[in-house]
Amino acid sequence: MSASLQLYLVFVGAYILLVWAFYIPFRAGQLYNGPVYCMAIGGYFAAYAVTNLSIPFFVAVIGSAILGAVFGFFPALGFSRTVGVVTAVASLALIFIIQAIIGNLGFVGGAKGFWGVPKIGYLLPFTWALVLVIGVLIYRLDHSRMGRAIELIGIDPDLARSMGVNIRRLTVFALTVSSVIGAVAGAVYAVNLRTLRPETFGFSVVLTAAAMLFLGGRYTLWGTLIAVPVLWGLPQWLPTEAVSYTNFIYGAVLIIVLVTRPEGIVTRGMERWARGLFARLRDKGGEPVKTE
Amino acid sequence: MSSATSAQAILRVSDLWVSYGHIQALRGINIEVHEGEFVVLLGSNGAGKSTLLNAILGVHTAERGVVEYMGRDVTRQKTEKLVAAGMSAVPEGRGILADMTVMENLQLGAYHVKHKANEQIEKVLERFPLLMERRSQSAGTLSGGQQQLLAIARALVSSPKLLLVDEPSIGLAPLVVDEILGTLAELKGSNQTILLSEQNAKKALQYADRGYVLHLGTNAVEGTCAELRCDLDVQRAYLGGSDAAPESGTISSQGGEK
Amino acid sequence: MSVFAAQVINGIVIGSIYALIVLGTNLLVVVRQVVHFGYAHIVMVSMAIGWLALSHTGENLVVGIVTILLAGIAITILTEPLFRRLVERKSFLETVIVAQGVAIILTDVVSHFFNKGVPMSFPQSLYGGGGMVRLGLVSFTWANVYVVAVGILAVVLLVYFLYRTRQGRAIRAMAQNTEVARVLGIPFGKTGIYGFAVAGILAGIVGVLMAMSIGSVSAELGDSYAVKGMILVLFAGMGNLKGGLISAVFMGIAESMAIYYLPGRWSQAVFFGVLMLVILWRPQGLFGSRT
Repeated sequence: MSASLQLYLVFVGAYILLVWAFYIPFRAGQLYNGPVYCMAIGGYFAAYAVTNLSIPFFVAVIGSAILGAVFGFFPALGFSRTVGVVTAVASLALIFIIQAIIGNLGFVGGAKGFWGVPKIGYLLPFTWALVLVIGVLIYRLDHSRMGRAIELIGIDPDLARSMGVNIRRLTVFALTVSSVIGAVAGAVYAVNLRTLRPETFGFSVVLTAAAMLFLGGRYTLWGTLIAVPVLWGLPQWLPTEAVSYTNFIYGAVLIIVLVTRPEGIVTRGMERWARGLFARLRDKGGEPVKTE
Repeated sequence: MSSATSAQAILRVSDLWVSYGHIQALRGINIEVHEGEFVVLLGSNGAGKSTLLNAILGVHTAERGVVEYMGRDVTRQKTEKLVAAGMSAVPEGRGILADMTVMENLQLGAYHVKHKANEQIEKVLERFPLLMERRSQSAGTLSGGQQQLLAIARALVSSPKLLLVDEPSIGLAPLVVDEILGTLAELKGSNQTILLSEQNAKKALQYADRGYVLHLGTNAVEGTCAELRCDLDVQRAYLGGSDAAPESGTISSQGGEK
Repeated sequence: MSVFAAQVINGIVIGSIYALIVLGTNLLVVVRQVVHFGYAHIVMVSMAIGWLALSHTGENLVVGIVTILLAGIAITILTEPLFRRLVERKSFLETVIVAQGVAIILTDVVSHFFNKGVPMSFPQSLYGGGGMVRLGLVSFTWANVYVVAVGILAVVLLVYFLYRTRQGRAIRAMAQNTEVARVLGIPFGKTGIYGFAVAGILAGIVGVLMAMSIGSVSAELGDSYAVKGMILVLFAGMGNLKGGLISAVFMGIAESMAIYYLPGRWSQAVFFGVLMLVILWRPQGLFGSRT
């Protein structure tokens, strides 16, 4: 397998995790930028741990996750009180704050950046193992009572409240989980990129992830698996002159999707249909199971 | 009074069908309003009165049927064009812009007035001295009845050919309701054509000329208000009963001559 | 002491620019329920187009200024249709995302087609040639004067428009209650475009003022002002015109102080940190009311 294909596949894995990190709060109706803020933290930590502290990567990832939980928890507390536009825009501040802080931290290279991260041999299979594990966990969460409560918060918060759902607590939970996943995504990304600057985890990451989330399908996990490889792989299938226009295309994708097909490629209806099909196939003997 | 055939029908609604999602709110409604008439739409909640007014005004689109205004088919016309053509509405709940002053609300009524808007506004203010006193007050500080008058005044600024009034009595004390309906009745003196939708049938019938009783989206009964006032069946079935003294009288099935 | 005063003046100038950006953004929020994240980017593109005009007409100032103003209006109005469907769906949040899409596109366009992505500087003549005015201990450039004066003028004109003209009243009515406005016969589409047009003129004015005070424009300018502007809008309270003005000027001064007195990149962290904390503490904004 060529080196560039390996690189590509790992980046795709990292972004799938990142987009899933955005997906979880979005189910509760929040567009939260905490994942990118934790991506920076997780990424820089993993890079530093592997390079300067000689900690094996799979241990460093755990460290990143823990940092993500800690650093993600406190903003989550604050942002559980805000909604919609306020959350989306104000959480951008987190990104700029962490960029400024990292820029001032000499031991991770400050504004000049951090380089020299060694190659991790098992990065590719490890990344995809992570994707698999985290994907299954999120799937289980979605279909659990907690997950359904979170979905209800996103659809009708008043109804959720009247049914006894503790919106505040669940929101903090969702935002913190998304921060952890963001940190893990950051660890993978940093170790694949091997050279970091504070700007690496900036506004353009937010927009890229948003484009992928909304194109793939904002209410399902599966759409991400399609949108990320396609959008990240754009430079491969575009003619060379067009490659520098990747950002332009991300912007256009965002606008077109939101105006024409807001739910994205993989809609809830499609997911339900697929599940119904699955259930019917499994039920070979008896009556086909009717899903609503 | 002019007969039905010779007076110009300002408004004619024929076989109008309107639905709200899955609910069929209007099924084949027919009404007519002639120049200078004060016509009232009666019926219980959900009978379709407000829906009809909204459909006439273009706020709701009808799936079937025709709305004719001044002889032209305006069924699919946008609200702004209808208002520019002389329709004016007093919405349900008064529709006052509370953060604006009385004067500003009136000025908004003049949005489509091309010439001498200020004069028109002053003329209307003269008619409503209560509002004249409070012209710089914030509209939200007015009482319910005052707001209702403001809404009517605002609708009159553009000297409309057809005034649509939607349930003005809601939330108002009986005395105030009398005042409002009385004001509307006074407008007949200036040959103002009015279509009113009202739940308080007893009061409305005292002031208007003709009425249509709507029930579950269809025309149930129609007639002059004198006739409607007398008909016991109407009172009981559609207007929630009454304690009026029983008099003999029958309802004609065609709209009224006086 | 004079350094302190210089920072304050600098702050007022920056604050005036923020104020106009906040004003334009709030206008679009109020009129069309659109949170136009790309507004600052429109300013940036207008400036870039103006720069092009200047370089092609031998630095003709009038042409330059007019071009920036026209570009502001044109581009703002061009983005209007993108939001229509979302407004119908009443999705406030999605307008932010679409606007972000517009923002990236504009940034990309400028970095590709204008001066090959190199920052473009405006001629000295635009900002009064750097001449200084002295008032006692305080001194400032003519550009400073222009910026603040034009800023105040723009606000006055906007208030006049909104409160004393037919169209301005229609815009306010639509902002307060769309259904009532509709019943009154106020055309939804046309009035919305008017709102965008006014915001567009403001964008053009901001562009001219920035060209005068900052003196150059680059593709990155959009992002930095967009984020700060948006956060300021939230800080004051979304849609709150008066609060936005006050906060912006105040923040301009605060930022100016912070940049001078705090080391390195900490000023940015502190600036954003404080704003964010206030928003978290009072999500409806400092001047907003809980609805």
